[in-house]
Amino acid sequence: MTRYIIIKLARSAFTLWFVVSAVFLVLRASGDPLYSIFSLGTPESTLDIYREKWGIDKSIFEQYIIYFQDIFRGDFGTSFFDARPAWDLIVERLPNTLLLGGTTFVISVVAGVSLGAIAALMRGSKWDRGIMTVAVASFSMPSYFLGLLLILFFSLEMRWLPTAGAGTWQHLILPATTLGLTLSGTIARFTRSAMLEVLRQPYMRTARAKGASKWRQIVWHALPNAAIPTVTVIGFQLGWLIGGSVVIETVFSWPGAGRLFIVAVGVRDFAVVQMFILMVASTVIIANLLVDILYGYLDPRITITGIKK
Amino acid sequence: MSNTQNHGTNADHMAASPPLLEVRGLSVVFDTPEGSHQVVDHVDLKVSSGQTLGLVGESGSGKSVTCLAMLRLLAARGRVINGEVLFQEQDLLKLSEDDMTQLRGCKIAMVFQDPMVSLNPVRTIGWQISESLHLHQNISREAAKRRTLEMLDLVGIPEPKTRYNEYPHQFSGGMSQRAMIAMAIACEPKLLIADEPTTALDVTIQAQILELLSQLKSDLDMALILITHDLGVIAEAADEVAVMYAGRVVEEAPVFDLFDNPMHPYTLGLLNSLPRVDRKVDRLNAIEGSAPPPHEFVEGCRFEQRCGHCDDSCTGTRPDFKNIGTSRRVACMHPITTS
Amino acid sequence: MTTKQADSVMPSHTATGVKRGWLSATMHRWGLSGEWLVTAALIYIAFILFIAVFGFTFQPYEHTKQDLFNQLQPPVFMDGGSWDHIFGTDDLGRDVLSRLIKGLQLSVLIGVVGTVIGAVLGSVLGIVAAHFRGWVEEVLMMLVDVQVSLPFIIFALAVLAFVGNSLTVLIIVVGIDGWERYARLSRSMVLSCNAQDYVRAVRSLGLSNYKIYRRHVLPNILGTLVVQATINLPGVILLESTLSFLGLGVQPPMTSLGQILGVGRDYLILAPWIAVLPGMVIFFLTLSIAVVGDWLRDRLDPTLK
Repeated sequence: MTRYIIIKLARSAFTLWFVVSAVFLVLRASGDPLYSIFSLGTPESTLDIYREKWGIDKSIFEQYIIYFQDIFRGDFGTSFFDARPAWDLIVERLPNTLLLGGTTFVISVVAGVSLGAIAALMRGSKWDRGIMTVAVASFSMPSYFLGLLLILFFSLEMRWLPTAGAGTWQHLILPATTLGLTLSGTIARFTRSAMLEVLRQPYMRTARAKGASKWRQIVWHALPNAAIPTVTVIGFQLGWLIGGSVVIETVFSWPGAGRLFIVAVGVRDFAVVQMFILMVASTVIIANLLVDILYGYLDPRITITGIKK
Repeated sequence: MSNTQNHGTNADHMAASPPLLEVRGLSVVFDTPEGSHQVVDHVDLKVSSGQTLGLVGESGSGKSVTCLAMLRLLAARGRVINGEVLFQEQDLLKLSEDDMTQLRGCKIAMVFQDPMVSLNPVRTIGWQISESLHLHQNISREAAKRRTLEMLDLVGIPEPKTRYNEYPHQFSGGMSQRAMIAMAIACEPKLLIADEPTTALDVTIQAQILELLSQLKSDLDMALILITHDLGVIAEAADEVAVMYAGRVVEEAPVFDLFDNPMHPYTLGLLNSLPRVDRKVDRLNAIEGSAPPPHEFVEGCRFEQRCGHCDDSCTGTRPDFKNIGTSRRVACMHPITTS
Repeated sequence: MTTKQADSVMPSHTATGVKRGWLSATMHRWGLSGEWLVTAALIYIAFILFIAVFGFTFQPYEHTKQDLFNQLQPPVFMDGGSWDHIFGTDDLGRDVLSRLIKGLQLSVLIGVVGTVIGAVLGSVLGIVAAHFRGWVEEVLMMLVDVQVSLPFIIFALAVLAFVGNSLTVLIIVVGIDGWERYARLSRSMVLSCNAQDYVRAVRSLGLSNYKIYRRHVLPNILGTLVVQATINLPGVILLESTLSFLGLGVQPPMTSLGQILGVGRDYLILAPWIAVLPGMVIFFLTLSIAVVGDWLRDRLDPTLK
C-alpha cells in the first residue's frame, strides 16, 4: 500500500520535474529576452545591468540550479514587466480562473453524464440521435469561434449579456457556456459508450431476472460500472479544460490566469510563463493521482498494485 | 427400475393437478435489419413442482430464447407473437410490467450460463444475494444478511462470513455459479430456470452443481427447467426431456424412455453422436450437415435435409405431434419404432 | 460466423432490384447506403480538398492585395455587397474569398502534414517500445505521462512564442500533438501481434526484424493507425486554427483560417462576415472529418474507442 503510493508519488514528482526542466530549457534556449523587451538601440551597458539584476548573465546551467533553489524557497521569480513576484501576479488572478473553470466543470459533468446516460438508455431514438449530433458538433466547433458567435448574438444583437470582463454572474454565462458545451459534449459521448457497453453485459440481465425495477437496474447496477471508464475520461478532460480556458479567457477578456499567460507569452515574460506552467502541470498531475485513487475505489478488481485481474 | 416407477407417479401427479408452468404455442420473432426471423415456433412445454424438465438442443435451436421469452426478458429486438405462458394458471404474457418485475426472482428465478460475467463486478456477493431478498421480501438488513449467510452455506460455499464481503472476481467459476444459485433461490422460487448452468465449468464442478440443483429442487419442492446442449447433463439430472431443433420442439419423453428408445431421427442422431462406454465404436457418428439458421427455416420438417428417414411427405407441411402412450410425443412423419 | 456474413451480404443482393436515384445508387456502390450524413461529409471534404489544391486557379485576387477604397465591404448576399467581392472585403480592403482560399490551403496543409508527423512519430516510438521492452518502454511511458500532464495548447503557445513561429516550427509543434495516442495504440498492437503464433513462426525461420515488421506486423496495424489519424485530424486542424487565432500561429503575409478569424474578431460589429465565414468553413470541415472518422471506426475497427 505505502509502497504503491510512494512509487506513484515518485513518478509524479519525476514528471513534474521533467516538465519544468523542459520548459526551462526551451525558454532559455530561445535567445536573449532583453532584445524583445527593450526597444532597439538601448545601450548594451543598460541591458547588462538588467541581465545581472534578473540573473540571466550566468550560464544556463547556473540559472537552472538557481531556479530550482528559488523554487524550494518559495520564490518563483519576478516578472520582467511588473517587477512583482510571478506568484503574486498569478495567485491574484486565480479566483477568477477557478470561478470560470469550476462552474464549467461542475455543469459539464452533470449535463454530460446525464445526457450521455439518457442517450444510451434511449439508444436509436430521436433523443439519442439529437444528443449525439449536438455532442459531435460541439467538439468539432472551434471554441473561440463559438465564443465569438455567442458574443455576436447575445451581446451585440440582443444586448442581453456583457461582451467581456468579469464581475457579475451575467459575465460568467457566455464564457462558461462556450467552454462547457464542448466539455459536456465530450463527456456525454464517453458516458454513452460506457453505458452502452455496460447495458449489454450479462450481469444486467441477471439484475432484470432477479426482479430489479428499471430504475434500480440503472442506478444500482449500471451506473456504478459505467462510472469506472467515465471517471478516467473526466479526469483527463481537466487538462483540456485548463487549455481551453486559456483561449476562452482571451476571447472574453476574462481577467484570469490564462489571459495573463497569453499576455506573458506574447512579451516573453519568463517568470510568469514558467510559474503558470508549473502550476498547471501540478494541478493536472494531482488530478490524475486523485483519479487513480478514485478508480481503485470504484473498481474492486483493481488491486492496490494497480493491476487489473 | 425405480425410475420408471417415478415417471409413473409423475404422470399421475400431472393428471391430478394442472402443471406449475404450461407454455402453449409460444412463438418468438427476432427483428433484424435484414428482416424478421421466427426463432421460436409454436413451442409447448409443461413442468410440475418437484420435477426437472430438460430442454436440450444445439445452440441456436431456440431453447434459451424460449425461456427468456417466458420471463419476458428478451432483448428489444425479440418479441413474442403468439402463445401463452401459464404459470400457476396465470398468463405471464398478459401481466403488467410491474407485476412481472414482482414475479421475477421471487416466484420464478433464473441461473445463467457464464457465472463469471453474470455477476455484477462492482458489488459484493453478499450485496447481490441480499438484494434479491430486499426486492421481494419486507426484511430487515440484519435478517437479510443472516439469510444470505444461510444461503451461502446451503449452496456449499465455505466460510460464508468471509465470502459475503468478497467480489465476484475473487470467486472461481464453480463458486460463482453456487453464488448465482444462492441468489436465485434466495426467495424460494416455485420455478428455477437454469440456462446451461454447467457449460462454463470443469467437469468435476459440473457434477457438483447438478447434484446441488437436484438437492435444492427436492428440498424446496421447486420445478426446474434445465437448458443444455449436453445429453450427459440431461441423463444425470432430468425427469422429462424436450428436444428442440431449429425453433421447434421435436420430441418430448421421460428421460429413460428417450434414451432407451428415441423416436425422432434427430434425437437418435444426438444419441448416436455420444461416446458410449457400453459398446466399442471406432468413431463417433456426428449428424451430417448443420442446423439451418433462422432465415432458412421452412414450414415443413426442418430436419429433412439431414434426415435418413425422410420422404416427400416431410416437405411442405409441418409434422404434427403424435402421442405415444400417455407420457411422450414426437413430431415426425416417420417416427422410429423399435422392434 | 459464415452464416452471419451471408446474412449481411444477402439483403444487398435482394435490394438491388429496387429503383434508386443516381445519388443513392452511387452511395450504395460505395457502401454508404442510408448514410446521408457521412455522404454529405465526404462530399464536403472532397470539395474542401479540391479548393485547397486547385483554388489558386480561380482565386479572384491576390490574398494580400489591399484596396483601401473598399474596406469592410459586405458580401454579395448582404446589403451593399457587390459581385466584385463575393464574400466582401476585410479591414484593409482585401478580398475575403481570396483569403479564404489561400487560408484554407495552408490550414489543410498544416493539418495533414501535422497529422502525418504525429502519426509516424508516435507509431515509431510505440513500435520501438514494444520491440525492445524494458527500460525503453519505461522511458516512453514516462514521456507519455509528461505529455498528458501539460495541456498541449499551453506547451505549443510557449514554444511558438519563445522559439519563434516559422511555418516549420508551427507544423512540427502541431504535429507533436497526439503522438502519445499513436504510441500507446501501436505499442499495444505490436505487443499482441508479436505474441501471435505466425509472427513467432516467421521469427524462428530467421526472418530479419525489419522484414518481420515490414511484411507481417505493419500491415496488421496500419488500418487501425489510419483510423486513429482520421479521428485525430480535426483536433490538429483546430489546434492550428486556435494558435493562429491567438496570433502565435501562421504569421502574415501567409494566412490561415484561424488567422483570418483572429483579424475578424476586432471587426465583429462592423463586419461580422470576416470572422463568421472562416469559422463556418473550419466548423464544417472538422465536423465532416469527425463524422467520417466515426463511421470508419465503426466500420473497420470497432475495437478503437
